[in-house]
Amino acid sequence: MRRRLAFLLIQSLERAMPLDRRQWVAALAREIEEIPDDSAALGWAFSSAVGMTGDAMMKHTVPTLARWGLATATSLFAVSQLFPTVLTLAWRHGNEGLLNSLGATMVSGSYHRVVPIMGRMSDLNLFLCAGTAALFVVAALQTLRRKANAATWYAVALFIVVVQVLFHQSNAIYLDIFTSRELMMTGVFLVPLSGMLALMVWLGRQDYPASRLR
Amino acid sequence: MPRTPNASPHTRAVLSALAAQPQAWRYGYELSKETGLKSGTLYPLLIRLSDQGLLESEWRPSVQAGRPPRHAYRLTAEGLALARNRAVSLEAQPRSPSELPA
Repeated sequence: MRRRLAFLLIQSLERAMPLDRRQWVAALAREIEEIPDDSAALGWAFSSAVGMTGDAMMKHTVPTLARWGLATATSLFAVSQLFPTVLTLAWRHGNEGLLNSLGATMVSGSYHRVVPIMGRMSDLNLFLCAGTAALFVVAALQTLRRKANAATWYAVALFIVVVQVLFHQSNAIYLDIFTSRELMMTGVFLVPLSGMLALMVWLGRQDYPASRLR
Repeated sequence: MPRTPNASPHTRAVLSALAAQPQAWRYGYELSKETGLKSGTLYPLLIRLSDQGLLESEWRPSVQAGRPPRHAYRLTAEGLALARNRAVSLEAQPRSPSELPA
């Protein structure tokens, strides 16, 4: 079962890769047959999928402009993730100046809507928001440095976001509508991020010059 | 300060493993076991070395009958020179106090 899963993963990877990478993925697939242990074979396939995808994304698929765009959008998304943490901490410490500057004004209705949510925000949720923001910042930096492990940082950050939504669903939903200002900022961040991801998928389907493989 | 190309510990490990038997064709799984690198780290390195003309690769018939060919690798003359150069420069580096004999 594990070996079949490993082959399935590698075959999917081969289809998704640009032409000049496919022979390398075929080489990776061939090596699976030489690995005696099924779990090790699955580990080999998983590592190959992460490493080769990251490498293709950073070095070949994503041109400089798109990489800068992706890094910028990711950094802004990180700020957006940090927003509820800062807002809640400001609320807990009674920092009205910071609350006002973040859009949770004392006079508007949004503040009253936000109060019970800030009161319910658990420490774990705050930690997850801040942690995800840090991971997105690292992912953005690694993207700019053309490091293949950027894909891993994105994957870990997105995994935490999913966990956060699953286990703190009510809070997570409210976090997205914390204040009108934050909602607007999130929208502004998500549009370029989505555009960059779509561009990456489109570029990933283009063919590249044949490699030096003989 | 500009970075020295192919000077990362992972790249040095791969170059060193390949330079140990310069004439022999080596396989990915063997190299992975020898260097301790995962496939997702090893193969992007091999691709980069190949793109730089430091590594040659070819599909070689399998030793075991009935099995498809395997992709094999060895250093080019340029790659071998670089590997030896890296090994020499590593030896010439001053050691950390913990590595020095008491």
